[in-house]
Amino acid sequence: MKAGRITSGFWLVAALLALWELSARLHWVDSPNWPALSQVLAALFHDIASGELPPLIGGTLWRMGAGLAAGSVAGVVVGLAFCLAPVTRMLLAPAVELLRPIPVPAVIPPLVLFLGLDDPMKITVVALTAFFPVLTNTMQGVAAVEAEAIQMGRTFGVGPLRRAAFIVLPATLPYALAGVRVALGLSLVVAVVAEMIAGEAGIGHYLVMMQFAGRAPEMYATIILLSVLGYALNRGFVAVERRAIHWWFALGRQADG
Amino acid sequence: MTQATRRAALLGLGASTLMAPAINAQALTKMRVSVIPVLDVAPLHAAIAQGFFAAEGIEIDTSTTAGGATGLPGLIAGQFRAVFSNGVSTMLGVREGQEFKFISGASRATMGPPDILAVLTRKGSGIRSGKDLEGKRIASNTRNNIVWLRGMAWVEKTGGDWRKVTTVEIPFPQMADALIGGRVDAVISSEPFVAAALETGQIERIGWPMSETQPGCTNAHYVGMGPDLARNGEIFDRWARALHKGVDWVNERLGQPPLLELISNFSRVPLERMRNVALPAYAKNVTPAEIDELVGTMQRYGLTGRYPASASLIHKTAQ
Amino acid sequence: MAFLELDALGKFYPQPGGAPPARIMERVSLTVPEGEFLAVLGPSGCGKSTLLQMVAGLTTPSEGEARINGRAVAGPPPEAVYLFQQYNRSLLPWRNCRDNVAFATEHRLGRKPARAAADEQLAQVGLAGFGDHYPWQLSGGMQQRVAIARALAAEPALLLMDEPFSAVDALTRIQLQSLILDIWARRKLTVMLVTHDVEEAIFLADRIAVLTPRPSTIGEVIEVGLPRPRDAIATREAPRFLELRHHLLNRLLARDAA
Repeated sequence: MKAGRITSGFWLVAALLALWELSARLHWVDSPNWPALSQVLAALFHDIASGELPPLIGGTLWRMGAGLAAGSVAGVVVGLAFCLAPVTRMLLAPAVELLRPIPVPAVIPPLVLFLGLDDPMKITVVALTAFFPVLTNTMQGVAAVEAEAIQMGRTFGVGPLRRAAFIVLPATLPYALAGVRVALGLSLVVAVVAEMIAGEAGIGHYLVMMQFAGRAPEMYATIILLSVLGYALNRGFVAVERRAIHWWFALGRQADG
Repeated sequence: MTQATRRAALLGLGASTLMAPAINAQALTKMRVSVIPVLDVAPLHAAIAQGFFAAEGIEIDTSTTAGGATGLPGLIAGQFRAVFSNGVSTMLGVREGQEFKFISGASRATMGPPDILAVLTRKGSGIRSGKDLEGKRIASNTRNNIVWLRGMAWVEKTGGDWRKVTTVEIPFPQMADALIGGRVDAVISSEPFVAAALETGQIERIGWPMSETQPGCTNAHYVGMGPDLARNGEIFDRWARALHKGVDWVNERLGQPPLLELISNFSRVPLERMRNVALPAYAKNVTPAEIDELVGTMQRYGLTGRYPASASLIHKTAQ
Repeated sequence: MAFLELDALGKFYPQPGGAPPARIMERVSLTVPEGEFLAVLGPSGCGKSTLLQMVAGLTTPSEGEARINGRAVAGPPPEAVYLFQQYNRSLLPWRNCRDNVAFATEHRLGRKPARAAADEQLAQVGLAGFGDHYPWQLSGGMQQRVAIARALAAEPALLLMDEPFSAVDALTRIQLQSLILDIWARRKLTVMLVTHDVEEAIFLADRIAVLTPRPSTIGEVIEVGLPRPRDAIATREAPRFLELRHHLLNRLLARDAA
């Protein structure tokens, strides 16, 4: 059943890619901005083999990873603090709720002003993006922690900080990780967008250069590259998640979000 | 912010002086310059490639921004020491009280066709003039910039009322598709996108907005901040000397393979396309007259306001 | 001096809209000598668990106080450990059995000694060799044994049990009851057990305090008077056992019907 689903999904992708190739080859879509898939793949392999793309990919992944890590840690810490120390929630929740709906491109100009155009700005943009889904899921997770588990800690004389670290945090982890998984996809996109704005680094800058040079195959090569990277990152993350919270999957629970 | 950055730079400089005096003799002044991936910045790249900046003790770090969106704001914020900017954006900033100064010319229109801007339409659309465009849609990469301004001047010059033409903002790379797809009736495009659009065979050129309206008119310049120039004038003297050597290098090789290869290298535009691309006139200086003409044109097309005397905006390196 | 004293304990919750507060429990007074096995028997919803939580310092009484060794309970007392009804919620699924048991003491002893002690405690509840298993790999009865081992690891003087065997099957329940009696005798614990199971109360306890429905208070305290050690089969067939069962069921059912 499961194998069948994967196969039919694979065929859909293959059919779409074939349609792409044909639509360009047979001029169903006639534009210099619609190259054939084979040209795009040739450009992709050329720029990987020439050594141009690998360091750019590395740079983008580094910025994404650093931002994702910082944003996720902040999301978990603030989420725990909001739930376990209501004072912090009273102080910070309004600010957080006001920041949440702001689209990332809108915060880039002030970030450029304070952090410049290089990695600090780009990593911060990614961190801000990652923060909110992790925060929301962490708070959901804390709300779902069994009251008995916390009372159990109290009857053994375990202090509040230790209870937070050894009961609430591990119990919340499956929810927080579900948030990180959402943030992961967003982070890659946002890292590339930030690179497109300024500075000469990463896949985003490569994409802008290729747009301005009118090199459509390279542009689409970047898009394919991002799609493959995003897919691989998600698969890798799920594998890590299954190891880190094996008990959660053993209990047959599903973290939503 | 500017001050903090500068202080950090000075601290860094001081520390390196103490620790490694031997190396310091060769240490280069780092300057970050905002550029756009267009043909106009060829002299800057030539000067980098030919070692003219290194010879002046300067290391250039270029930062490419699409459409120049972060250029002037980055200059104000102290992220850049110099910015390649089109004249309209610069003067609009000056009008709002920003202390921008022209530190070098960059590009002007040629005295006659071909020049780097072109008005394009679909083949067979029947549109030949600004008059034909009344009530129709024309695309510019940005409203209220030099491309739009020269485009409006062309509409008027060819008998149209620019107020009756609707401007749509479309980035250069997407203009050809928008035109072929019928989403706009004409576009004001820039090289090398003009050459790429003409390669499709479905698009034709109907006008040269710069050389037909104001031959040799001003286009883009390098801009610095007044306070920085006052304090660090000597650095900018060296910077301009190196850049102007690059201008000479480029002007000596107009239309020749070494220049086309250089442009193809930094812009990534395929070399075969470069052979069909029109180049601007590369300039070293900025004249009060060309700025006055620009301001006059801006006033005429709705960008009104009080602008300071043009001579006061031109730093000695651009005179 | 009595080991555990309940002095006119009461609990009520404020109601919205100025209505009089909901009284759950009032004037519960009891004295429990050291080493006694006390059962508190009552129908469902009479507030038995609330009473136990007040003794455990997990809930603050609205009136009166509980005292252990003469000290009023304010927060979880170091002498007492609470054994939860829902072992699957109080065991930590990300820790194996050894580390679950070690959780009771590692904050005082450190990780290593706590783990070593945990293996001993697991052996005492018949789970030697299960240290590396995760709770969710075990049956319900075995999980409750892990919870018991964890409670014992803290070396409590007072064990507070909240219907600890209600979630396991009948045979397992009998086995766990014998296990608890065995541990109680060996360790000379004082036990306060809350249950709605009449037979369980008779089989385990020295005395049974019967709670009335809401607002509940102690209706009657009965000396069980069955000889020890008690036998899982023979004790349940003793005339005194049957007599008490008859009396208590009569009482609970009559109250329920009313």
